[in-house]
Amino acid sequence: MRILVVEDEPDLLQVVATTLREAGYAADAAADGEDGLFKAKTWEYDAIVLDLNLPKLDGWSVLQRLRTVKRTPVLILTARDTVSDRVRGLNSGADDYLVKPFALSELLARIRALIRRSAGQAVAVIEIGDVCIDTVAKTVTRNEDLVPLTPTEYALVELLAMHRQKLVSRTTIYDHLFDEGDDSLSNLVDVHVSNIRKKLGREFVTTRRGQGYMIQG
Amino acid sequence: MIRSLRWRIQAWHAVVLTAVLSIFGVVVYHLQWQTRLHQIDAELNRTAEVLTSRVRRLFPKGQVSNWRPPMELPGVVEREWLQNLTSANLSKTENEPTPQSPQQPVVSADEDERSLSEEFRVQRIGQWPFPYAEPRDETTPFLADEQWLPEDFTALFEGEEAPLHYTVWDRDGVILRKSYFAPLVPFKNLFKGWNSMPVQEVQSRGGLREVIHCTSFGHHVLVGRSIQEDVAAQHSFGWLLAACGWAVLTLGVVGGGWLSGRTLRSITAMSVIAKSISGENLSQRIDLAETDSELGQLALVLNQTFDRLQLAFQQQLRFTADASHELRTPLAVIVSQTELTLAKPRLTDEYRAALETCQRAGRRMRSLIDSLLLLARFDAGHPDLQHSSLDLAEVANESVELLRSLAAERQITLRSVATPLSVVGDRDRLGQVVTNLLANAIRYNQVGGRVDVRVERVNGDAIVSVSDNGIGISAEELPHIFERFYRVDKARTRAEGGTGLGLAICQSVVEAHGGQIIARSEPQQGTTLEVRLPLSPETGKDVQNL
Repeated sequence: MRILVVEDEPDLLQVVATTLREAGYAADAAADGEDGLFKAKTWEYDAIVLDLNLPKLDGWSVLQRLRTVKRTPVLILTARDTVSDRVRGLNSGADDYLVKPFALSELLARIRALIRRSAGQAVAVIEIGDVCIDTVAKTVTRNEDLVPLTPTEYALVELLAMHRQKLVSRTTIYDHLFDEGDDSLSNLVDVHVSNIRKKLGREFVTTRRGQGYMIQG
Repeated sequence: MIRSLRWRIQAWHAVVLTAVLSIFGVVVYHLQWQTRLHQIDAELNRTAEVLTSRVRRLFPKGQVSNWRPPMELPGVVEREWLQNLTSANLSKTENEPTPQSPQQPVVSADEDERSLSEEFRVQRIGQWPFPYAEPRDETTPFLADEQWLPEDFTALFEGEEAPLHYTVWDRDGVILRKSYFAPLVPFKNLFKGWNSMPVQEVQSRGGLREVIHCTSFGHHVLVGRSIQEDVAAQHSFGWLLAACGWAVLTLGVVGGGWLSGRTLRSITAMSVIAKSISGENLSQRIDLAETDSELGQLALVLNQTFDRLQLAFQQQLRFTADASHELRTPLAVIVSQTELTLAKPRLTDEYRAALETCQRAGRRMRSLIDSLLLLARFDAGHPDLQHSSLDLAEVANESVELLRSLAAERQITLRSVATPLSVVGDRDRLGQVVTNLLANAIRYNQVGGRVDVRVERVNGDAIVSVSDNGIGISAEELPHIFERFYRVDKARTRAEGGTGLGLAICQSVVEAHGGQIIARSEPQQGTTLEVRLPLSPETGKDVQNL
C-alpha cells in the first residue's frame, strides 16, 4: 500500500511519513502543493494525506485538480477546524477530514478504512479459504495459526487479497508496495511471492506468466 | 419605543392642527361678521345720507337758526313752528290718503307715544342733553308724510316687516320724523355746536344696528334695522365653519397617522434588518430604495457601518483561524512525534532526533505566543513601553551588526548611513522593529542583492528607511503586508518563514510611539520600508517617561 503525504511543516511531514512506513505502508512525501499534485497525478497511490495550507498551491486547488483525473482516496489533515472548512474540504472531493493535533492511531485507522472502502472491502478481516488476513493487526493466520510474514510479504498478500479474483500486474505491485526512495530490483517481487507460497501454500497465489499474479479465493 | 414615537408624533400633530384650525376659524368668523356689519352699515349710511339731505331741505338753515330751545314750556313753540312748517304736507296727506298710510295705526301709535312722552317730559326737565327723545306733538311726527321721502324709499320703512326704521330728532331731543315701527329707545345728542362738522356714529344695541348722522345744525337722523337675521346667519355660518374644522381635523389626524405610519414603517423595516444582522449573518443590508431621503441617508450610513463591522469581523475570524492554525501545527508535531517515538523501543539517536523535533516545535509555539501576547497588549492599549531618550542611529547600527552574518551568509551587501538623531522611545522595541525590517529585507532578497539602511531627519521627523533591490511586492499585495499572518510569498515554506506577525508587530510598535510605517515597492525593483518617528521635543536632553 503506497501513500502520499503532502504537508508543509517539515517535522510533521517526517513524523507522518515515518509512522506510515513503520505501519507497513510505502510513503512518499511532498512539501508543497505543486509537488504534491505532480506526484499524485504521476503515481497510483492507495491514499493521499493532504494539508490545506500549502505553499505554491493550496490543498483545495490540489484536490480539485486531482479530481479531474483521479479518484485516489484523500484524507485532509489540517489545523483548520471550522465547520465551513470541513464542508468545503469534503465538497472539494475529500474522502475524510482530520484536524490537527491528531492521534497517529486514528490517522492510521482512517487511512486503513479509506483504502478498504476504495477496494470495495467492507470489513477489516479478509478470509480466503483457511487463510485469514487481519488488516488492523496486519497479521495472517492459517487454520488459526499465526503465519510469520515480513512487512513486504504482508503488504503483497494484502494487496492481492484486496483485489482478489483480479489480475494484479507487476507494475501495480511495484507502484503500491515501494515508495520513491526504494531501489529494490524487480525480481524481488518473485522472491516475495515464492516466500509467500512457502508459508501459505503453493496454490494460494496463482501466476499468469508475463502478466502478473492473483488470488483465486 | 417606535410605537410610542408614532403616537407622540400623532398627538403633537393633532394638537398643532387643532390650534391652527381654531385660530383660523375664529379669524374667519370674525372677518365674516365684520364684513356683514360693514355691508349693513354701508346700506344704512346710504339711506341716512338720503334722509339727511331731505331733512336739510325740510328744515332749512334760516328757520332752525332762529329757533330757540324751549326751557319752560317745551312743546308749545315747536308745535307752532312745526305746524307752520308742515301744514302744506299735512293738508296734502289728508286730502290724498295713500294706501301705504293707514289711519288706524297712526291713532294708536299716537296714544302710545303720548303716554310715553308724559314720562319723558318729567325726566327731561332741567336736563340737557336729553336721555330720551320725545314726540313734538300728538300728530306731526307720525303722519304718513311719505312725500318728504323719495317714492322708492317709503317701501323700506313701511309695514311690520319693513327692513329699516328711521327716526329724526333735533338737538333738543324732539322727534321730528319717525317711521311707524321705529322703536323708541335712548337717543344720543351728537351736536357739538353751531357750524361744527357733521358727525356720524354707528351703534349696535339689542338686535338692532343703527347709524346716526348729525347735521351741522343739530338734526339727528337715525337709520337702523334689525340684525337678528344676520346674527342667526352668522351663527349658522359659525356652525358650518366648526363642522368644516372638525372634518379637516379628522382628515388631518387620520392622514397624519397614515403618513407617520408609512414613514415609521421604513424605520421599523430598517430596525428589523439591523436586528437580524448578527455574528453569523453580517452580509444582510438595508434596501436603499430612497437614497435621497433622510432615511435613505441613515440607511446608507448604517450599511457602511455594517460593511466595516463585517470587514472587522472577517479579519477577526481570519486572525483567529490563522492563529489557531499556526499554533496547532507545532502542537501536532509534538503530539505525533511523541506518539510515534513511544510506539516501540528506539535507538538513542532516534530519541535524540525526536526530542529535537519537539524542541523546535516548542520554540516555534513560544515565539508565536510571545508575538500574539505582544500584539494583544498593543491592541488593548497597554504597550508597556520603557520610554527613554535614545539615539536612533545607534539603534539602527546595532541591528545592522546583529544581522551582518545573516547577510554575509546570503551574499547580500548591507550598507548603513546613519545621522545621530534623538528620539524618545523604547530602545528594545525600536531595535526589534529595525531588526525585523532588516531581516525581511535580507530574507526576501536575491543572492548578491543589496540592503540600505538610512537614518535621517526629514521635515522635523526622524526617518529610518530600509530598502532592498529584491523582487518587490505587487500593488495588490502591498496594502496587506501589515496584516497579521499575511504572507506575500505563498511559495515560502514554513521552514524558512517566520510567524507572519513581524510587520504587524512593527506597525503596532511604531504607532505606539506616535509614528507611522510606510511601505513602497516597485515590482522587480525593490521595496522600501520607512519608519517615521517624532523627534524628541528637546533634542539631546533626557526626557523620562513621556
